[in-house]
This record gives sequence, structure tokens and C-alpha cells, in this order.
Amino acid sequence: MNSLLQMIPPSLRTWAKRLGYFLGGTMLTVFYAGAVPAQSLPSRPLTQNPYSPTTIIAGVIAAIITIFFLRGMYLVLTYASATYGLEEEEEEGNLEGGQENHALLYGAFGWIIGSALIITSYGFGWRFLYIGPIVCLLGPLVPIFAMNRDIQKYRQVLARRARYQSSRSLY
Amino acid sequence: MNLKGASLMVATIFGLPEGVVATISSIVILLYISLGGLWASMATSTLMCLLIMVPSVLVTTAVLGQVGGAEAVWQTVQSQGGELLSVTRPDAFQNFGLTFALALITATIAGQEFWQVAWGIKERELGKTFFWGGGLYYVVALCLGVVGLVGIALKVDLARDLGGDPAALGPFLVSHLGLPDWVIYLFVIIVLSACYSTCDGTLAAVSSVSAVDVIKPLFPAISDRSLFAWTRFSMVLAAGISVAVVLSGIDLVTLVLGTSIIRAAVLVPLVLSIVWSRMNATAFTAGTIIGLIAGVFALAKFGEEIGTYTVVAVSTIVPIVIALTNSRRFDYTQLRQAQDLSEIPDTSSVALR
Repeated sequence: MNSLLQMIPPSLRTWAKRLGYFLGGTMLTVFYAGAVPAQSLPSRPLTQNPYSPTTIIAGVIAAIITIFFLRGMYLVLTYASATYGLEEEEEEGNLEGGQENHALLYGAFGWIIGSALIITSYGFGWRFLYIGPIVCLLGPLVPIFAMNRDIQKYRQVLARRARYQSSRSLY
Repeated sequence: MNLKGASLMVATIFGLPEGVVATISSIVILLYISLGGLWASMATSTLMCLLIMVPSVLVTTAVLGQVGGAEAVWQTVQSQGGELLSVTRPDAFQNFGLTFALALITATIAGQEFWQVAWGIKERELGKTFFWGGGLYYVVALCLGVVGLVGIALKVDLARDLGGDPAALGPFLVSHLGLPDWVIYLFVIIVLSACYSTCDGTLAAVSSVSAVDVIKPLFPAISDRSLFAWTRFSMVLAAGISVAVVLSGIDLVTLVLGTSIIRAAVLVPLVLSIVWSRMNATAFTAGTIIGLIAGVFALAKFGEEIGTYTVVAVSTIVPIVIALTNSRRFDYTQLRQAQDLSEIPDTSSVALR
């Protein structure tokens, strides 16, 4: 365990330990619960096919989103530890960042109103029942987008520091 | 409430005693929360966001596929009449919607765990972060809510099949439809992630509240090491109380509505405390307690809707009346300048200018 932790950057070890406990606990609970088989209906259920094309398409998209999400998390944590204490002085006056923030804010308002419309639409026809799952599937794009923005910002901070250090070394 | 929800879900699926699930879950949460601070909590919660949203879609589509597709479900529900697909049914609003909506708003405003997150986020990121948090919360409910329609379509009986607890519908369907094991496990992961992400934040909040509002005022000279130990003990105590609530056998909907009444009583006094400098501890406490007492009586006599209106009305009027008699004002700049929140003087110490 200790040798495994040695492979992780020191600033991420606490987080890795914590995540390990969470995943380990979740697995333990699931396996413990799995020791008892799931209950079954006394009567035969209306059984069709859980592997419908909709499920398969959702699964493929979910897998792609999961990869990008985990990649974003890993990079954000890595860059955050690398730029710890450096970023504050670099953040002021970013016009582009301000526009992004406004876009996200208006988008959030729209999303909330849209959610109310979605639940209303369920009564209009069966096709609308898929809107909720579709929006939920696309939901993780928000943190992916936000993490990508942070990664860009961290890279800029590191690049500025590198330029600063190289200019100092010239003198 | 979250622990009860998770215990109910897992217990319904696998037929385990709720107390066993609650105890295991509490130990897991206490173990991993003992490591890392707020930053680690946020990082873990980010991962849980993925573990809740993506599996919710897969479970919902698999359930729909298993029962013949969305069209079959929709037609069956529609054929049952009673405006089951309408959002304008007044009885849903009166019996559940009003209190629950208030509870969701109050949970975000009054929840110490959310305040911890708010303090941890940079000011310029704060607004949109909370808006997106709310937005992403909605879509999970919109997605898994479709599973509720499947329950209506299959005419799941509240008393016979769910033991009188409507919240058991999701796990009942997932475990009784003959779905593959991976769907059941995904559902368990959704439930546990939702439970863990809320419970760890709540326990962290209990830890900080007990340190700032209880332990340090009682023992100002306490060492950091002792304070740390006592805050850990407060988390264990809170977890123990939560397990006891689960073991009491109370059903989830009653628990949700009960806590909703308490939260509704806190809502207005808390908002007034934030925005109105005349508010003080007396006005807040009196407003909350009198509002709660009046609301419980009204709830017992007139039902959910009148009870909720009463709580909100009384908990609004009482603190306003008391605060209007207060000649002193709170100086908000103290909060910005404070290094240790336990050392901020009482609100009444700042004279009205």
C-alpha cells in the first residue's frame, strides 16, 4: 500500500487515500449486498429486453463521457497541485473568462426553466419520456467543460511562470 | 434522511435489514471522511457526480426496455386516467409538492454543508457553480422519475409491494423486474454515491459547527489536538443518531416531510439573518421555534398544505416583529475580517448607527 502511495505525487496522496476508501467501501457494500440474490416478483414480470438499442447507444455515449470526465479530473488535480499558490496573481482581467462565466450563468437559468418544461412535456407523448435521460446523460458535459477551462487556466499559469523564470535566469 | 434513503434502497433490493446497511454505510463514510479536508471532499463529490448521472441513464433505459419501451409505459399510464401524466394536479401540490419544494430550497440555503462549499469556492465562481449544481440535480430527478411512471404502469401496490413507503418504488422495480445484475449494481452505486456525497458533507459540517458553536465557546483554551478529537467524536455521534433514526423504522416519506417542516421553519429567519442587519439570535430562535410549534399543530389539524403555510407565515412574522424592536445592527464586515468565527462577538454588541 505504502509503495503504491509513493508512486503518487505527495500533494495528491491524501486525496488518493480518501478516494480509495470511498471506492473500497462502495465495492465492499456492493459485494456484501451481492452475497444475497436480488428478490424476485411472485408473478412473472412483463419482461422484454433490457439491451434495447436505446440502452446500448446510451451505454456507448456514457463510456465516452466517463473517459473524458475522468481525464478531466485527473488533469485538474495534477495541475491544481502543480500551480498551488501561484494562480491567484494571474487571474485578474481575463475578459474571455468573464464572458464564459456569463454564458454559464445564463445557461444555468435556461436549464432550470427547461427542466420545468421537460417534466411538463412528459404528459404530451411517449417520446418526451426520453428527454430526461438524454439531458441527464449530457449533464456531465458541464463539469467536463468547467474542468477543461480550469486546465487551460492552469497551463497559462505554468507557462507564465516558466517565462518568468527563464527571464530571471537571463539576468 | 440520506442514510435512511440509501438503507431503504439497498435493503429493498437485496432483502437485507435496513440497520445493517445503515451501519455499514456509516462506517464507510466515517472512515473516508477522516482523511482529507474540504478540498478532498469537493474532489470526491465531483467523482460522485459522474457516478450518479451516468448510471441513472443506463438504469432508466434498461428498465424501460425491460417493460416494453417508453411507448408501452406511457400508453398504460395514460389509459389509467386520473391525469396521472399532468403536472397540474392540485392534490400532488398540496400533499407533497409544496413542502418538498420548500424543503429543497431550504436545504440549500440552511444546509451547513452547502455553506462550507460556498466558503471554499472563489467568489467569481460561486454563482454559476450553485446554479449548475441545481441544474444537474434536476436532471437526475427528471431521469429517474421516468422509473416512477413504470411503477404506475405496472400498478405496483403501495401497501402490498412497498410496505407503505413510496420511496421504495425505484429499488422494488429494479430488483423485481428480472433485470441483469449489472443494472442492479449500477442502481446501488447511484444510491450509495448520492448518500455518501451528502452524508460526508453533512458530517464535515457537524464537525465544524460543533467546533465553532459548541466546543470552543465552552472550552476556549482547548488545544488543537483535543478540538480535533472532539470534532471527530461529534461526527461519530451524528452518525450514531442517524443509524438510530433508520432503526426506528420510520418511513422515508414521513421522514422527508417531517424534516421539511423543520426546514421550512428555518427558511425565512435564516434568509432574514443574512440580508437584514437588525436580525439577532433571539429573533432567529423565536421565529424558528414558534413557527415550528404553530406549524406542527396546524399540520395535525388541517393537513400538509395549511401546516406548511402556517410554518412559513409564523416564522416570517415573529422574527420581523422581534427584530424591529432591536436597536442594534450586525456589522457584516466582521465576517470578512474574522480569522476565527468563534471569536466574533454577539450581534447585539454593534450599536445602531
